[in-house]
Amino acid sequence: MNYKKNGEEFWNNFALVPVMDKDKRLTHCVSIQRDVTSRRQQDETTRKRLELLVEERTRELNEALRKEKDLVELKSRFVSIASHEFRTPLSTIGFAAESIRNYFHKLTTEEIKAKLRKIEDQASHMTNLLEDVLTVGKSDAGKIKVHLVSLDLREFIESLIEETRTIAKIKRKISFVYSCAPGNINADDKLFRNVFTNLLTNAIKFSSPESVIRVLVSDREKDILIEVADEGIGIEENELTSIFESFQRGSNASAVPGSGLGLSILKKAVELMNGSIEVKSLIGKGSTFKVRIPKR
Amino acid sequence: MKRVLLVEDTIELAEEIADIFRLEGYHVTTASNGTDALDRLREFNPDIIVTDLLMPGMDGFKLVEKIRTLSSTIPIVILSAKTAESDISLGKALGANAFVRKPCKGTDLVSIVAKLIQNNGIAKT
Repeated sequence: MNYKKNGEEFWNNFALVPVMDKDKRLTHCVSIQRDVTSRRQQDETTRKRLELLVEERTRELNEALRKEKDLVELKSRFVSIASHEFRTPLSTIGFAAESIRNYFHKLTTEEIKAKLRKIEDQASHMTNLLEDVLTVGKSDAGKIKVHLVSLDLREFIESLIEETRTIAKIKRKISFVYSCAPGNINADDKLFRNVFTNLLTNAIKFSSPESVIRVLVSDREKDILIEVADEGIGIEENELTSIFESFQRGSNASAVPGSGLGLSILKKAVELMNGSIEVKSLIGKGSTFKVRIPKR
Repeated sequence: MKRVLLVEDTIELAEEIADIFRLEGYHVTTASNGTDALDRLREFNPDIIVTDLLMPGMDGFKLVEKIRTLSSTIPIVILSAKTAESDISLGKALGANAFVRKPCKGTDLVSIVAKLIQNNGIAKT
C-alpha cells in the first residue's frame, strides 16, 4: 500500500533491481513501481464473489444434509412406531384366528362370531393406520385438494362428537358449547372432520375416563375458533412443536397406543384450509388445542 | 390346573391370549398394568407371569424388577411389540426368563409357558 501526493491510497507493485559494475559491486538500484489498485480491486471482487458462492454452496449442502438427516430420522420413527402399532392388532388377529382353527369344536357359535368381529375390527384399525400413513404421503406431495361445501357446523360437530364417542367405546363427559352466528359455513367437510376428530380422539386417549373434555366452537369476525381442552397427561413444553411432526409422539405418551400421525395430519389439514393451530399444555394438568379456520 | 397371570393393557389382545391359555387347560387371570398385576399376585399365586412392556402406570420392566424382589423363582415371560435388542437385553437382565416378540403363534407361547412351569417345578423338587 502506498500514497499518492494528494494523499490517496493506492496498491503498489514494487520491484527493486540491484545494478552492479563490472567487478560485481553494487553501484545503485533501480526501482519500478506500478499502480495495481484497479487489478487489486478486480481480484478483491472476484474473491468476494467466490466467497459468496462457497457460502451459498455450503448453505445448500448443509440444507441437503439436514433434509437427509430429517428423512433418516423420519424413516426410523416410522419403522419403530409403525412396526409397534401393527404388531398389536396383528397379534390379536393371529390369536383369534388360531383359536378358531385349533379349538373350533370347543367354542360356541357366539364365541366364534365374537372372534371374527374382533378380527374385522383389528383389520379395520390397521387399515385406518395405513390410510393415515398414505394421507401424510399425499399431503407432503401436495396431492390433497380443498373442496368447499355448505355445512351446518353445529349439527356437523355434534355428529362428529357422537361418532368419536362410539369409536372410543367409552362413555366420556364431553361439554360442548357452540356460540357461532346462525347459518351455514363453507368448509371442506373431510378436512374439518379430520381436524375435529383428531383433536377429540387425542383428548379422550390422553385423559382419564372420569375427567371432562371441553369443546368450544365460536366465531370471530374472520374465522371459526375450535377449542378442545382436556385434563389429561399434558405435553412437555419442549415438545409442543415437535408433536406436530410425523411419527413424533410426546415422551410421556409411550404407554398410550398411537402412530404419531394424528397431529401431523391435523396440522396439514388446518394449513390446507389456511388456518392455524396453537397448543397450551401443563404436564399432569391437561392440554388445550385452539384451531382457527378462516370463514369462506 | 396351572395358573397364568397375564398382564396386558390392550383388552382385545388380553382376551384372545387368555382364551388360548384357558382352551389349553390353564387358569388365567388378567391385569392391565404393573400395579394391577402386583395386587393380583398375592391372592392369585400364579405359576407363571406373562407380561407386556408398554402399559400405562407401571410398565413391564418395572413389574419384572419388582417381582424379582418378591420371588427369584417364579417364571416370567415378556410378550411385547417392543422388539429392539436393547429391550430384550434389559428384560432378561431384570430377570425375565423368556422374551417373546408380538405377533407370535399361540401354540409357541403356550409351549414356552409349559416348559418354564415344568422347569421351575423340577427346580423346586
